Amino acid sequence: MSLHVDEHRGDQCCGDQCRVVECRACGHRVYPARLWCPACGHDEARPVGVEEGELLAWTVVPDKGRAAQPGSGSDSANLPDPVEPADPADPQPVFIATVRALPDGPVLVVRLQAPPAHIGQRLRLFERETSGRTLPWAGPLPDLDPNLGA
Amino acid sequence: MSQAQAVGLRPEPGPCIVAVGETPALRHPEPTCSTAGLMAQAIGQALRQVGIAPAQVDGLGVASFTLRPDRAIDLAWRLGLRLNWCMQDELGGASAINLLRQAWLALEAGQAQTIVLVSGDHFTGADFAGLVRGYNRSAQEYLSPLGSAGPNPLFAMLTQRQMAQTGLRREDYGALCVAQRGWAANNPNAAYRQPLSLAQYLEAPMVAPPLGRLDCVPVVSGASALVLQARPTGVHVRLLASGARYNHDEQEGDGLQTGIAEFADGMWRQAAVRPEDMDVVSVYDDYPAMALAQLCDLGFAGTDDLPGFIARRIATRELPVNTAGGQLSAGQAGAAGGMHGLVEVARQLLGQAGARQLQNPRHGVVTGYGMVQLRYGMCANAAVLRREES
Repeated sequence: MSLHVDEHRGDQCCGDQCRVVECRACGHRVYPARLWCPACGHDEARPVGVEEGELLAWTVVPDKGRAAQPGSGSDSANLPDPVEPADPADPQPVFIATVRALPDGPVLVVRLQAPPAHIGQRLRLFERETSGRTLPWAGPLPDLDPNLGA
Repeated sequence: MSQAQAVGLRPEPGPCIVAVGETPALRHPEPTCSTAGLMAQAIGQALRQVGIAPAQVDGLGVASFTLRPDRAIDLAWRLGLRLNWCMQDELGGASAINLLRQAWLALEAGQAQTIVLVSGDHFTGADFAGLVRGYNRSAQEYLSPLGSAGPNPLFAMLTQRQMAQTGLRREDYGALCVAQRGWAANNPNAAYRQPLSLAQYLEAPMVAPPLGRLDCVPVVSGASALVLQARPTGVHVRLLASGARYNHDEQEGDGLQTGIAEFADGMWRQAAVRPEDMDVVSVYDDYPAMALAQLCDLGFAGTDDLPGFIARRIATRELPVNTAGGQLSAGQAGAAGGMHGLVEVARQLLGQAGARQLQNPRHGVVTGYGMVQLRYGMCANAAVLRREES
């Protein structure tokens, strides 16, 4: 038995939104796809787009100690310092985040366009070709002053 | 409970750990070093300790990422072991206790009389990078291409959430690392034995904030082994109770609580001892945050005052935790990292811990944790052990 995901429909459904997998029986959402619904066992699912998420945590690799450092608790209100221009010998810092897609999940590990403002910030979710694969990214919500958060 | 216990007769001895062995943790192994060679060294050491000849071994359990293309049975052949029981386990940091639980059942059922459990790995830099990049399908097809290679970024985010939830600061994680380094000073097999100061911990380069280099285990080559017997004599270590949870939350929780929290109460009840009875503790320390999470799950601490718990109980050695230095100081030899803590608690209870030997420890508890999926480890297990003599 293996999961049947109606990919054809997915091509039309979601634009550049981040596509996750929703169980056709119970509505449970996961990413990436599983072999059947891990919540109810049903084996039919459909792709659905998620376009907004809440930032749960983030980090940056590899940064050689120079790039913005996410704090925790009270420190996280501080905006990180701007990232210094990369040394040609050094890889560019990669910002990674854990984001809960709103309103019904799932929790995603995503690539961030830029360091976020604070934990709990609302982010726009989208897909981008990354290392030859279509993978989830997050960036600021459109028309929102990032200093105000969400 | 055996029949003899049920009718009130003297309890039968039952299966026990009788010996342990461990190679030095090698940061720069010789070109001739091999996974199987390291395993043979650890097994040989353990067997010699109790005068058991290889010909008496009739069970073998193996955990390794780098033994390929050989498997457990090939290792048996190369060691000349003729077996009634043979198992291979790939649960990484949870493999040792998983093997221990299975070996126990096999000995109780009479499937074998003398079982050797061994775990070990030998890495070159490229081997290790390849292992973490392709650790499982999610790593290979999702996280690594995304730019989140290996466990560090995931546990950086988990540590960040733990800091926000508990008020732990980098200085507190540092105090745990400093305490473990203090123990490592008396473990001749440890990769890092020189004293570590809090300032050195804090000054170490950032790897994935808030994780610095000293929050991450040094990758080493090495092997660990245990010998178990169905009817031991002399000093031995009995398994009082154990528990395990594999994929306990489908990776949909926050990772700050492991599956141990689900079975800890039952395990303590079955063992008829409590956390406060433990004389020695090994918790799986792939990162300081996970060591603390497991200590909470076991019932040693609450999340309300972890900084105080570290300062008052761990730093003072009032609660001896990871007394061989843990993986953070002794090093993580791949799957052998999962056996390091078990070997240390058994070694302390057997009274063979040399300069770091605790005074007459009677009870110990060990945890295993690992197999990172999308966000954190999927596997967690624990075992309560007691020293006995007959």
